[in-house]
Amino acid sequence: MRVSMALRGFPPTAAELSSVRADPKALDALTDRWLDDPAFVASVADWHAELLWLRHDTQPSLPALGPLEGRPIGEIGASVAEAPLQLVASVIAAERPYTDLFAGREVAVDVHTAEIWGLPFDEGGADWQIAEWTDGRPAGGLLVDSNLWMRHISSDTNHHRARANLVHRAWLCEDLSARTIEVGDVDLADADAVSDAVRNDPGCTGCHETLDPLAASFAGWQRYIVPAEVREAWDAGCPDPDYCYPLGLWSPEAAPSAGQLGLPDAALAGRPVTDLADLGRALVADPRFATCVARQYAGWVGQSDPAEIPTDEAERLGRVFADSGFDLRVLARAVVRSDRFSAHRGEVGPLIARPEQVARTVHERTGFTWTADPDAGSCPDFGCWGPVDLATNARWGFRDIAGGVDGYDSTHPVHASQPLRHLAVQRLAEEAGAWVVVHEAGLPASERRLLREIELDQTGDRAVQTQLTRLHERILGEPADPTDTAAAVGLWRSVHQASGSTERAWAVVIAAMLQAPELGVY
Amino acid sequence: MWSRRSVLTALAASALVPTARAKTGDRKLIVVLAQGGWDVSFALDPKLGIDAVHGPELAPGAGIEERRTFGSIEIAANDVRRPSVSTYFERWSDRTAVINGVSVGTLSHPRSISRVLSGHWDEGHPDLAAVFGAADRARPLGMVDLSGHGRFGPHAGRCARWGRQGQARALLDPSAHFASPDLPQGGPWLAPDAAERAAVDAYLDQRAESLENSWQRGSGAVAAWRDSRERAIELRDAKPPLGSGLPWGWAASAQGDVDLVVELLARDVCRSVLVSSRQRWDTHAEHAVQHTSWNRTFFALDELMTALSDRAMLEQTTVLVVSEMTRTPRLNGHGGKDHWPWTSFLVAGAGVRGGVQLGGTDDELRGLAVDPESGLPSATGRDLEPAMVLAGVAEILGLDVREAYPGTPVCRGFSA
Repeated sequence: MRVSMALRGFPPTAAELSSVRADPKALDALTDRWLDDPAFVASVADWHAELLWLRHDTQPSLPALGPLEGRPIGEIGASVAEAPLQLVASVIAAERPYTDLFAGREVAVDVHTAEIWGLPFDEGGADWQIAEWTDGRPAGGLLVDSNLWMRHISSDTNHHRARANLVHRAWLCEDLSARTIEVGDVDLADADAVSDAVRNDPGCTGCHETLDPLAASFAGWQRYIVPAEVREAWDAGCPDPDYCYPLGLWSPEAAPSAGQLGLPDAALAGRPVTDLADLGRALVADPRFATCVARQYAGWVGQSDPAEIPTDEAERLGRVFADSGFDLRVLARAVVRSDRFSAHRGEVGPLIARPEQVARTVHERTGFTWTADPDAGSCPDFGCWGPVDLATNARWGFRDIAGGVDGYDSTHPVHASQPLRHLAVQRLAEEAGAWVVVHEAGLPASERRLLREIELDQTGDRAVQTQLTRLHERILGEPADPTDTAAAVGLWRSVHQASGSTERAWAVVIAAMLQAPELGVY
Repeated sequence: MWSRRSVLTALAASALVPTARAKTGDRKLIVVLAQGGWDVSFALDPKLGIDAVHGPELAPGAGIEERRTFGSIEIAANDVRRPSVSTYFERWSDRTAVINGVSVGTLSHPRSISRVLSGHWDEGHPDLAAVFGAADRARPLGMVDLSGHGRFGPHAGRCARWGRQGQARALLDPSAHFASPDLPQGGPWLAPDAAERAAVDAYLDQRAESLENSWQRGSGAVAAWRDSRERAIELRDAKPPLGSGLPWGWAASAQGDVDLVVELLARDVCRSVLVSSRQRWDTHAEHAVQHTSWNRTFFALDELMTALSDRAMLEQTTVLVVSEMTRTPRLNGHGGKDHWPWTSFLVAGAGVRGGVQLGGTDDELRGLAVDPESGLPSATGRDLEPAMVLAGVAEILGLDVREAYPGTPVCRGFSA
């Protein structure tokens, strides 16, 4: 159960579970199969969304102007947030080394980001396609992805240090902003005084000797382009083309150089780098990199602070990762099959399904996605938001209520059973249960996913009992014992007797099973 | 009939009531976070006429900037740009204390937010609002977080995020639903009645009991699952429905939050709430925006105090207003101000000695050393840290401060 949830985001089937119970060695082959499942790639994207504070759908979206006119602004914002994750997914799906994320000019593009950045996109092709930046930016992979730096902005005085710290926090496992500072007599509003202090004041140099050379490698990028600026620029007839579509966040002619920003020569941990492509090479060669990625992944699947992973375990996993040529599947396998992660003998305590796992479980079991339209027939002046998946959306839905993050204000997930989480799962389960009955009623039994053993107007004990036994197995992923079946029959009968509706009885039973603790605690 | 949770609650009541003062047993806490870093020279820590500090008089705008005194509280006032600040102190200064020069020791938003909400220098500690809320087991929730910035730590099971647009309402109001483009009539297709819900609850309780018995290593987690589900049922089945009077949608606002906060506490849904001021404070440029942010925030605070008073809740409710840092003394080259690692706290309402101003900053907005007990500036004192102020608030709330803030001096200068 735990391995499947970690790798795919949903529980094993009853057959898979039985095979492991019959022969524990069967888990080896299952693990390999689950690592090849597209759901593993989706889970890796989920991990990076949390790591990089993406999917920040509570924040304003770029406006639907010009080539984007009439498009839902929620979709536009989601595309920008999702693009770096789709690049991650592309590399992992192709079984390329994780280090490829920091090289090349590839960028994931969809119908919206193609217009935002002026990238080629085949509208007859897949929703997400891989294109290449052709504007001369360095070949730094994620490090040169404008979509990432739309989320992680700099300011007129921050000089890319926040961006540098993201790289340092995510892939070298040290958040430099966590260090306590002593301002002393430094006037932080005086650019010259700050520039002097970060080079010479012992209270500042501890961080800035690391941070500032890293920040210098971001020279050539604008500090930010916020949605309001795009709207203002458009209204003014685009006097600065960087602020109209296609946007020019990478703009080496317009953006100040490192020297103009008062930054030192670009470097990582004392190794000079020439640009973000060189930074990518330095980053993956840094001895902390492999251990950090291992620590981040183990922390994510084990729902703990990565810093709490014991050093010897993180280093062991890091060696496995590096020795494999940075194969993320090898790392994932090592993490989920480690003694530490074992549900029976390990140190990782019971885990709580994340909202993405809940949504994926319901979808995998039933086919249902909890889509809703928050505009409900009327839109504000600045445009319609567009349909959202309530299970995984924080602005309109329940991602942060159910323990997830919103990628902006809430950046720490909650791994606990919470009352409102239960109510969110309940509403999702009820809508899924009802959808299954209506959807499957229109299909022949052989084509159904769940209600395959019965016609919906049947009420006979044997037929109902048989169907409920199979339903238990399919949804909970466990063989049903007589007690399980009896409980389900009792629920089905009580609803049927009160309502007179078999459809309603099946919907309520499916909704109940989808809320079972077996699917939420693992 | 006694539910499993009511038995647990009764057992816990004798052990977990706050220890300091019996009369504090019904205390409630509201924490308002002005996220982004307010410029305290615009109101709580006036520096008008001090050359080293570019205060509100340098942010262009109309009106007269002046110092105004309420008790021992001195504020920067402007009745044109920030009239609500003056109005608030005119009405509530006798219930309000201001603590200036609180050192946060970092220029990082997330770190300093953690420090001013939890009082702990290191990350990973729960906020005071979570600790206080979780100490109460009678209500279905301990703490509700409307800001998204709350950190719950080991108390997460008794805390809840409410959603950016107040989405929780849709979970608590049986008549509320989201229009789905894929469903006829927009759904929902299934709204179980009370009997059906009770049957489902019984089914799930049976499953949890079975799992708890068979899964010894995870039995604690299953027990927590059951406990939180029972609390969920209390919320779901409340009469009248909890969600029907609570706002949701595009119009989420500070005013809507005031109504929601008061309603949540009045209906005993929880006993602490963390709410955002919903204003723009991080003014690295366009610093004049601070006028608007101060004005709107204090308009909402006045509304909040009025609502608490009108509903006879002010004697039980302590209001704590914090921002994670202030801004540099002088404007930067872009018409804004950057991060400055001190801040001010405002405490009001139940248990607070009003008209008091503690702590302080020098003419360059650096925090003064204080006597830890009184919070008054003292040349022989020490830096005033968030933990010292929060320990004072915790004591007002009746928490055991030796447990909540071990080894931390308790600032009592604002305690009634």
